[in-house]
Amino acid sequence: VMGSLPEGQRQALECAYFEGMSHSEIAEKTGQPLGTVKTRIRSAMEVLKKVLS
Amino acid sequence: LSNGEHIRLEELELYALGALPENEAAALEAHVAGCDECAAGLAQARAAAALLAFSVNQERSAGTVKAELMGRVRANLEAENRPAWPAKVGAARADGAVARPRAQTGGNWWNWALVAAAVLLALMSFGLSWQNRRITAELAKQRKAAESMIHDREQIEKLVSTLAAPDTVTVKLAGTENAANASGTVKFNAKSGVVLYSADLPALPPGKSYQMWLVPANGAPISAGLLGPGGQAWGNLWTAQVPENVQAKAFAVTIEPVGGLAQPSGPKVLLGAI
Repeated sequence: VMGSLPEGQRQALECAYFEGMSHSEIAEKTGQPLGTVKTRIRSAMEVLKKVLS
Repeated sequence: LSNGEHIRLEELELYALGALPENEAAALEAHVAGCDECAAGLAQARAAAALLAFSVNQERSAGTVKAELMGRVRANLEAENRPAWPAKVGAARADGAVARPRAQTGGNWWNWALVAAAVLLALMSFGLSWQNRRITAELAKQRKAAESMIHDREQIEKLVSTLAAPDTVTVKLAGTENAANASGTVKFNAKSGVVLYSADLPALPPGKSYQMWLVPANGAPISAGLLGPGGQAWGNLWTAQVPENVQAKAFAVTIEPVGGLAQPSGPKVLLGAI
């Protein structure tokens, strides 16, 4: 399921959930603004909830 | 962090994913502790986060992973000398108190539950043991009563068969000069040695008893029981067992000391010849 997510969303979610990084750390790692990171994670969670639940 | 009054959903999700910095996480926890709506939102976010574990291909870990992981946990515990629970849980309490680990609380609860269960089992065991003893005693009593009834039935059947047997003789007893108005009847079966009799006799002085005697064709009289205490009665009938196959020529009743004697010594009150 993770593989079906857009690259940005997948990367943000992996960093948060599987690597235990905070959103600011993810923003720093990916070079994206904090708001973008949050939005990507939010969107990714929505997709996963629909697919998995 | 919040959109006025409540925490935004993405913040709750970030928290559920563990992606909020500690200071933001603490603020969120403080708010959630007093806000049912945000608490419900957090529960949903946690449920969604839990699904993430199933979003990747499931692969079996190497056999050593668990051992290594547990080894690290043990090493950390020993280094910190405290039970394991997430640091965030302790820091999360708004009142500053450190939450007690569930395992410890649960352990105490289980200990008390086990003690209570042990006491309950001991009481039940004692109760069952007592009940078992009571039932065993009652069973023994019933068994004894049943044996007594079986014995009585056998005796009655024997008496009935004796009365009905063609070789049973009936002997009429008449009162002697010692008891002119007395009378009696004897049923005797020589083959089985059963003697059955009834009598109409005057009252006895204290310390005395009537005793039935079989007078054989040859030899000394044989006791055929007492007509009173010590004798065997079925209602108004008395019965006794004498040696089998004795040829009787008469029956007699004498007055003897209570309990009877081996040979007659007192006055005859009834006499009847076969």
